[in-house]
Amino acid sequence: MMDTSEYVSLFLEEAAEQIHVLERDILLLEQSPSPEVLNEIFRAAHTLKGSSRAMGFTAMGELTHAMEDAFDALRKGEIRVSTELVNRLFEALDTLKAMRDQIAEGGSTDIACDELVRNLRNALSEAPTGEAAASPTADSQPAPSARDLQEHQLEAALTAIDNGLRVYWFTVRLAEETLMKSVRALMVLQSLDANGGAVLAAFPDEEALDNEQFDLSFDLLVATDKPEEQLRQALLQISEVREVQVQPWQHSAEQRTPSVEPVPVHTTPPILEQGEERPTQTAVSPMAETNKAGVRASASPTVSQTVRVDVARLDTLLNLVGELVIDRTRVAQLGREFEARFQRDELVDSLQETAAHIGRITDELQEHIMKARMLPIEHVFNRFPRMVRDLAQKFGKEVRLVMEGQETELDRSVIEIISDPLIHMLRNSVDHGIETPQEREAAGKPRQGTIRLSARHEENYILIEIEDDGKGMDPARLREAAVRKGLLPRDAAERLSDREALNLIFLPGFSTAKEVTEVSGRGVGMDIVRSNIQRVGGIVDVDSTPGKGTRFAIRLPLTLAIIRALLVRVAGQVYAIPLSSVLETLKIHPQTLQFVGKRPAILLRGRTLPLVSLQAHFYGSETGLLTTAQEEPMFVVVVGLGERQVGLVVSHLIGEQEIVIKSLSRHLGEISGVSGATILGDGRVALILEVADLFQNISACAA
Amino acid sequence: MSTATMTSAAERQVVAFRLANETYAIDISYIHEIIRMKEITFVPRAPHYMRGVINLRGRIVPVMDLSARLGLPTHEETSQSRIIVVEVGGESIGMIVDAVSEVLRLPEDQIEPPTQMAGTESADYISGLGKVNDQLVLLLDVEKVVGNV
Repeated sequence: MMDTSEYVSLFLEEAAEQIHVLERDILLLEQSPSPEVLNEIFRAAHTLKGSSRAMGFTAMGELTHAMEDAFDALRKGEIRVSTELVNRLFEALDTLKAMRDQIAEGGSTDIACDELVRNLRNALSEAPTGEAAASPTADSQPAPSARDLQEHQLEAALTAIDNGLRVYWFTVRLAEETLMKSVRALMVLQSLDANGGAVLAAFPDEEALDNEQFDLSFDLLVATDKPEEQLRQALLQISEVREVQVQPWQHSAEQRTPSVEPVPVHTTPPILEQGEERPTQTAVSPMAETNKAGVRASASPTVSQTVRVDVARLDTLLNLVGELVIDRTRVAQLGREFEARFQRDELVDSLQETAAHIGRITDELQEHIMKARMLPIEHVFNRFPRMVRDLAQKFGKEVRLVMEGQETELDRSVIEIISDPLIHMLRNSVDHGIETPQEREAAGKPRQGTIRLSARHEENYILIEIEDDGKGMDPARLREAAVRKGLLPRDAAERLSDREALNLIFLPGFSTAKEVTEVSGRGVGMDIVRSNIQRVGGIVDVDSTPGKGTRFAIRLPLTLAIIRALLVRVAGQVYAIPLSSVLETLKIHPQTLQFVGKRPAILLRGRTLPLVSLQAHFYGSETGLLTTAQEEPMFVVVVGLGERQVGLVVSHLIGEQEIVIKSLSRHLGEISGVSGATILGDGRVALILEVADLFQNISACAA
Repeated sequence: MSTATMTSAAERQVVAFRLANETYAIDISYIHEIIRMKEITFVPRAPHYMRGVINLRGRIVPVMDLSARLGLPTHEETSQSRIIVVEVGGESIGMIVDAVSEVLRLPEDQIEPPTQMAGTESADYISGLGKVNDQLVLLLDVEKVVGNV
């Protein structure tokens, strides 16, 4: 037997890739079995079958063989997709994953799959047969992309693209029992027109549509600058419109090149683009021949220009750069001190120049190493479509997950930490946010709920949003629940604004779910979500409209290691406030102090800004108390957390600086208001403020 | 020199230091380094016996006032004061002592259990009593001192 050990790691990588394709496509299959998806999924199963057999993993080969047969039957229109079949396919897929992981650990797998294969084959024979009229894949109509456009239509499409518009094929299917098809067709055309879509061509043409000379479906070539999904949703609102498929239009000249990338249908494109986007995955593989028809056929035969680097090595590099950043600041400071002592001396000048150069190089080095550590957030998002599907099925909900911005990059350490909170929030959305199809219909909403998960860069942080169109949260009920659970006295709860009431869900021990479900609602949820996010210097905010839906916004720093901070002095010691939470700085006279109860505040542009004396917070209530009797002006740093603002009173403002975040030893315990420490240019240690803690402190006092 | 670093099985090598007029000792295997006093950044709201943190060549190391930890009277720092940096469980922690005197070899058979100290506040943290040249040496249980933090 040949020694295959050196191929194992390549096999594993390829298997992981094919498993990912399978997972993604089985989901698509359930939503809309287009011929492209079916072909791709069949090829993925076929490739995996071939390579696992070649490597001697027979069980894996057998399982993928059964899957391949299922996809083949689907592809040929012999059977139709059913939930049962999809569940079996997912079971098989999970087993494949487990086998792959076992091989990765021990070089072999002993997971049995006989029963699975049997189940799958049974599901296959029991699957509804695909009579030509019943299956959309076996539709007698030609695929829209095969339609021949007339000269002027082609011209119009090309001009639209030149003008920055996008052109799509919309395939609209009406319900079988539709009585006045021409009216529906007219409504479709009007809806497209009203939503910013220009119809360039219709098959059959508009006259035929008008005379009801079509079966149940028709194709429209549409140019638009709006998201195609938006148009599609608008069409689905029209009654008796059963299904709308959207495919990008391609000039037939381009189409002749074998397009193996799947054409995105319904879901947002980025998730499907990774085959060509990620050069690391296109390493030349000995399995290439079995992969001839594989998804990566678009990879050019040239050796890819990337190397794999151990993550630990990147961590070390970043630590070293962190040291360098500290020393750069130190050298610059020494330069200034020398200049002050020896005035203009040739040596001093020379030192200053060198220091400036080192500074620039360090900045660049830092930037590049941070970039090297970035990963697209897709690594986290990947598993969500499957998870949401399974959850929706479990709770009897119909949920569509729309993901945007998977290509957004952030530091891998942030990626690791953000994964769990996102999972938890998505679960909550499916479980508590989205209503059952019956409830939704009764409320005049589409049966299917939508959860939108998006990521994007904004200034120097990442914004992740989770938005659902479910039942939303009622501030009054949240106040009520908080009082009932003894988290807040009634009068304090009533003083909260609606916005603040929504934030009650982040309190430990808070949960409004009427019954405890297996997935969420144990009352230990959102507080952990928030503390996880805060741990990486992020903030989470919630907004909700009863009946309309809920939106969570998470802001995360791009990196955990190096940030810009405002240095301030409190009681003779230097503290660093992350610049991401600083809104402005003020110099105020103690005479302008006001007191709300015993709490100090000032009036800032018509709004009451509560003040916190850092000296009082850190060094006990006797010292640093704010009084109007003080002579000296006070310095206030206004920091924001979501909508809320607070002014931190400090002794002096020092200035902005880049700081390297270091953690405090656990021996010091959890210190409210301090998230870590950093080393300053003069070698001294400064503590980094945790702004979120200070806000919590205020709420606690207010309560 | 080579013989000096050798420790026979029946001997324990310790670093002896002064604390509130007593001689204490720490097993040498825990000791990372001994440094002069340097500026300590106070960490508010930390346990009372934690003095703060120092910058040890780019690392942030917490520093404990050992006298306060053991419930002994504390007094002013002098030029003799030192920070002994020990490593326990992969983490470094500094301990302020009044003065470091010497490295001692304690024969195992001259170390007694700390029964006669029972009742004093620091007794919990003493693992044994040794005698060197008629001088009493209290062996500190470093894991306990650091671990219960």
